[in-house]
Amino acid sequence: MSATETAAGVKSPPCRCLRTKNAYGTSPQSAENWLPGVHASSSYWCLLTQGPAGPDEHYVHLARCGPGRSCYDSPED
Amino acid sequence: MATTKSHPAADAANSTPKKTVKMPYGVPGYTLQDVERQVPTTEPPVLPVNADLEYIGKSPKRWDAHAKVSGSGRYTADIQLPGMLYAKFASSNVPHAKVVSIDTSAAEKVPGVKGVFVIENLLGGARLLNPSLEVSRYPIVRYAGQPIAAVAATQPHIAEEAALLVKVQYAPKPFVVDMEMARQSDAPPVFPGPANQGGSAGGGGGASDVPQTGNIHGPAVHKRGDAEQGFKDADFIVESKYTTQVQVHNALETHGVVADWKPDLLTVWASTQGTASVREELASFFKLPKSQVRVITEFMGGGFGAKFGPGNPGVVAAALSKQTGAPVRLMLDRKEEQLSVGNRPSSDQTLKIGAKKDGTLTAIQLISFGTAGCGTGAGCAGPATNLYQSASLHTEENDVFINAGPAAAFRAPGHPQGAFALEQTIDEMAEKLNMQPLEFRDKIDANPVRRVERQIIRESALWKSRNPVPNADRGPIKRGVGLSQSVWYRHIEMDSAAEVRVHRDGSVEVLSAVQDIGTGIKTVMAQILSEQFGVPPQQVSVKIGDTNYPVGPNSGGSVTTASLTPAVRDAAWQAAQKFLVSVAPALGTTPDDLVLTKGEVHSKSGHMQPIGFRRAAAKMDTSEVSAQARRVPDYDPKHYDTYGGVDVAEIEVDTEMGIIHVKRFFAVHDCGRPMNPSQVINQINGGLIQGTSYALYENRLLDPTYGLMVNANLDQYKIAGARDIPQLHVQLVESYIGQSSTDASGIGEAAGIISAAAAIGNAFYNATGVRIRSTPMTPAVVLETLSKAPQRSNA
Repeated sequence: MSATETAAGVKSPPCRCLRTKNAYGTSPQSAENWLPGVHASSSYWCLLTQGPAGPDEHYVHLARCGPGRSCYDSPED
Repeated sequence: MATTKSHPAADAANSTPKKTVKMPYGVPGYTLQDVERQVPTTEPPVLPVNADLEYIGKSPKRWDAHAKVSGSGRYTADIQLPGMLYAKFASSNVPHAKVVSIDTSAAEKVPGVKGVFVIENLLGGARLLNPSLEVSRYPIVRYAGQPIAAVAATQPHIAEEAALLVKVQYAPKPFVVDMEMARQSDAPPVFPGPANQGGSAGGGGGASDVPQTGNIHGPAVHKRGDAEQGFKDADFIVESKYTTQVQVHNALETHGVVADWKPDLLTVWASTQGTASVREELASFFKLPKSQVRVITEFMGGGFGAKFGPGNPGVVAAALSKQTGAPVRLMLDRKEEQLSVGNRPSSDQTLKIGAKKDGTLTAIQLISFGTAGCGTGAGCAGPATNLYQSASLHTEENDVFINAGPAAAFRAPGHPQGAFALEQTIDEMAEKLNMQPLEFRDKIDANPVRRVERQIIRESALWKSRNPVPNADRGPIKRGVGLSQSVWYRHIEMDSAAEVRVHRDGSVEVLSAVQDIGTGIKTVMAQILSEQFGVPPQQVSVKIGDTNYPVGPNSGGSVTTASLTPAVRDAAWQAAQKFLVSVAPALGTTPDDLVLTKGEVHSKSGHMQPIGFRRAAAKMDTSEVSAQARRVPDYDPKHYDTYGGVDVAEIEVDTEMGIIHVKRFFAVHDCGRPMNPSQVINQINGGLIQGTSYALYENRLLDPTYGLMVNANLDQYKIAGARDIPQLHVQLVESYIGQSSTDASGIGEAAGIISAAAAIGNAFYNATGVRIRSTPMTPAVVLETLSKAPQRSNA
């Protein structure tokens, strides 16, 4: 899973409730960086809503489920 | 999860004592050689190529064949528990609305109804970012068929009747179900907008810096080199538009679960591609320790990517079981399956490539729009990005929101769409360059295995029978032959473990939580134990699909065989060593003196005559020995491989009726070491059939007036039937890459679904001399395509 980037340019992991086909389990180092064609084809859903919109009723996406969002739940907390 | 961190397993692997081994590398008969690898000292001996093995690489009958054909295999819908209730969703019948109120009183009064669950509870603690945009107690309805509530009753028909009595008051909103309309600036917005989310833009991979304008979410831009300069440098440029439709997964078994909530354990039987994913999400959702959630998938009727996690059916069934104190079964019907649990997004692609006279690609540019309904995931640049070498690349992928069910990952996400455009464009360029399709691909495709595959194609009778010039047949029925290539990637899931037990009676068993999604991992696991212990596969006990066993990989992205089989082999090897330790005293020697091979225990020193495995097992000093192993990281993690194939289609086009008849496919594919060639070929057969169905028939139709899907069934949603299926001839190419103790990889994604539509498209051109640029290639599309062709002649 790639990191999202805040306005200040700080890399943060995406919300722990973001789900996609590739999110389960763990993969070898850098494997996903090597797959530039896959991420844009990924479908995302929210664990809490089980749907494409998060609890704040906005869509979920790797590039959107970052710390700037009210429902963001950091996987590192 | 941040990319700057290395994986702990990789770190551990780096510090593990290593030994140097020589492994087979390349394609037997073409490029086979040895490669040196540094591997952990605990790894088993290197496996030779398949020709030198007894069980691995062979095709024993499916381990569970009898259970499948006799009906004794238990699928989720077969689970019957005492006092079990049947649940049914109450779903929206409007495509876009705010739910004002939900009245469940009438449903609750129906005799036999034991529980009603309104999905507002799924939202947990909603914290609106901007309350003025969309305030709602209940989830906003964004597509017709969205689950709103569920009823649990003693009988299925009671649940169905009661679900109809759930009264929902809607405040309708404007909606849009047509992607072209949704792209307009004045289209009704599916979402209120990105709002105050400036802080979350950016990210890695193809999803970096994704803006949103109206319903257009994108573009996700990927650049390599200077495409503008690349087109200036080109001697020839080909630019075309292609469109593909929405395809629905339609696995034979629908989504569903049986949930049994007890105070100390939630047990869930699930039709899932990931027991681990269902366990993880239910534990997270209900805030339970994972140790108190057990997920079971004994048999599973397909998923194609749409069955990860519990989804709404799993969460709602578990909640209803908790509420009612009884087990609850919730299986979707076919209509719900088509509306609410996933699909393959459409695409509208403008693809432009530039090449020099010698065939060197100077630029590839893809601008794509696609709709994943109210979800995202319509990117399709995978093939354009990864299949060919080009001096420059520029891709822009856009999701277009419409009021339709969200997409889900679907077998090789984005790739059938992308290949349909790319592979036809490559053929167009080859014609401009006055090169043959195979010759041009030899120039621009660096993958050594596909080079071998093209050579096999080149020498095939089918390819040699291809029309030397398009539109060669004189009559109204025109025959054509065309090809397409495919590409997929090596994914590994490190959460892959197995336990192997050896018993004193000589029986062996293997356990893992991995699920068999229908592709045959049980058989492959049995083969690995057979190779180690010399016991025929049918005598190996395979126990999988239960989170009580060691964690198994989720089956998506073609990861299962590549991830799990090394763990199984390592566990088998370690159990065998423990077995030798256990029997050595009784055999009057030391473990170091013993070797277990081909079902016999041998003494290196000649201390004794070889003794059969079963007889030796009777001398074990305990009743059982066991070993558990987890996936070891790939031996050379810096070296990543892609997989794929080259598929040739032979078709006949009835130019008067507009009917395409796909007569045959000749498919040449690779997937590392084929562990069970028959099962690999089965998957490719399935992919070619699914791809043919996608190319010619399948199409989700939405009514623009009411926003409803008008063919949410398997009558009007046409899927290829027996008479539509072409002859299928598959040839596997063994390809050794020296990455694990089995050196196996997956095949599910690259197995024909990527390339079938593109190969049919190229065959159509070879037959008619006209490019077909839309799927499904229905008679209407075919006739329209032919009618617009300039100066078409039957002569």
